[in-house]
Amino acid sequence: MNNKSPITQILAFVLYVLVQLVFFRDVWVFNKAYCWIYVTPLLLLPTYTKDYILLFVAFILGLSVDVMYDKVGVNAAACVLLAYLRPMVLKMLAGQSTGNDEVKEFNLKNVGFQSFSVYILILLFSHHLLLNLINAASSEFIWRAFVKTILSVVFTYVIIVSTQMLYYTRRSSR
Amino acid sequence: MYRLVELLYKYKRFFLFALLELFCFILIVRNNSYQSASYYTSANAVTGTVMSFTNAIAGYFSLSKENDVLAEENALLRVQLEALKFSRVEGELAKLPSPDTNFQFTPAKVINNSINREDNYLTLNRGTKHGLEVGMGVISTNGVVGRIVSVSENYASVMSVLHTKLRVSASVKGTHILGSAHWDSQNPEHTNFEFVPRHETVAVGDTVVTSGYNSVYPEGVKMGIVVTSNLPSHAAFHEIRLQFTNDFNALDYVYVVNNKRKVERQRIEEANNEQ
Repeated sequence: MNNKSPITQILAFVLYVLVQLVFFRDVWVFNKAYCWIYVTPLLLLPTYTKDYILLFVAFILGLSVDVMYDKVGVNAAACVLLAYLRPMVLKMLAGQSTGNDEVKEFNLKNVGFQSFSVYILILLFSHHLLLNLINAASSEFIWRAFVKTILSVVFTYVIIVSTQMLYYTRRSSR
Repeated sequence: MYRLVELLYKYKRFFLFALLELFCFILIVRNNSYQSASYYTSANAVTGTVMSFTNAIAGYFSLSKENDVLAEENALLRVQLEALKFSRVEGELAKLPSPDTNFQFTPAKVINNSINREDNYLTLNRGTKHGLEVGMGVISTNGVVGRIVSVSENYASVMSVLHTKLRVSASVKGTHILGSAHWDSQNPEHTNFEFVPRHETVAVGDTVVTSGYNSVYPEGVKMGIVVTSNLPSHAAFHEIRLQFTNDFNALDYVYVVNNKRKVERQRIEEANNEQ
C-alpha cells in the first residue's frame, strides 16, 4: 500500500467511479440513503499530496461523476469542499492516534479504527450535506436534505469501512 | 499592488477553492434550467454507450416479464383489430369520426432510468437519427412517461413525470374536469392533481387521463387513478392524490409521440396571444 505509483492512483479513481455508476447508481436504502462511494480514493490520497493538486483532482473527479447524473457541477462542488477541508481535518487529527504525525497514508491500518472513522465521517458529512443542499435548493425541500444527508453518510461510511477492512484483513492474512 | 499579490499568495489555497466552487455553481445554474440540459446530459455519446452496455446485461433479467407485457399488448391490439373488422362489416366505420392521424409513435427502449431523486430523467436509445426532437412527449402502454429535453444522434434524454418542473394538463376521464398533474418529489408512485376547482366533484377511483390541450400528448392517455380527494374548507382547489398507472421502476419500452401538426397548432394559438 505504501508508495503507490500515480498510475495505480489513477486506476483507483477510475475503478471507484465505475463502481459508483455500475453498482451504486440506483441503490437507495429506505428511499433516502444513497452511497457516494466514489469519494474513497480522494480520502485515501497520501497526506503529503499538494493542496492545489488535491483541489483539482477533486474537481475533475466530481465533474466526471456529474456527467453521469444529469446535474453538472453538483458533485464537483461537493468534492472541492471535501478537498478543501481535508488538510484541516488531517491537521486536527494528526498525532492523536499514533503519536506520530508523519503518517503518510491516512488509512484504517495506519491510524486505527477510531481516528479513521472520525476523519471520514467529518469529510463525508460536509460532502453529502453540500450535495443534498444543492439538490434540494433547486426543488425547495431543504429540511429533507438533512435527513438524506445523515442517512447517506451512515450508508457510505459503512460501505467504505467494510471495504477497507476487507482489503486489510486480506493483505495481512497473506 | 504588492500587498494584494502577497495576500493572494498567502491564501492561495482558499482562493483556488473559492474559484473552483464559483465555477461549479456557474455550471449548476447554467445547466439546471428547463431545456438547456444539452451537452453534458446522459444523451451525450460516451455516457450513452456505457449505459446501453450495463443495460444490455441487466436487460436479460427482465426478459420474461417484458414478454408478458408485449403479449398482453398484442392481445389488446388483436381485440381492437377484431372490433375494427366487425365495425367495417357492419358499415359502422362510416359513422365514426375519422381517426386522429396527427400523432405518430416511435418505439424506443429505456436504457437508463431514475425514480428516487428530486428530479428524474430517463435515457432512450433513439435520437435525431430516428426523427426524435426536443419537446416530444413520451408514453408507455400504461400511461404518460415524460417529455424529451435533449437529443443527440442516437440517444434522447427525457424529463420524467417524476420531475418537479413538469406539469401535464389532464382531465378526469369521461368529464371535462380539467387539472394539472404535478409531482412533489415525495413518492414515485403518487402525484398531485392540482387546480381542480371546488365546485367540481371528483371521486376516489376515478381515472385521470391527458386532456390533449397541450399538443404534446394525444387525448386520453392514462395518467393515474384518484386515491385521495380532500376539499379543505377555505381552499379554492381540491387536494387530489393520484396513483400512477405506470410503474416507473419497471419501464422498458416506451413510445415517443410526434404531433405532426404541433407547429401549425402553436402558430395559430400564438397568433391569438399577439393580437
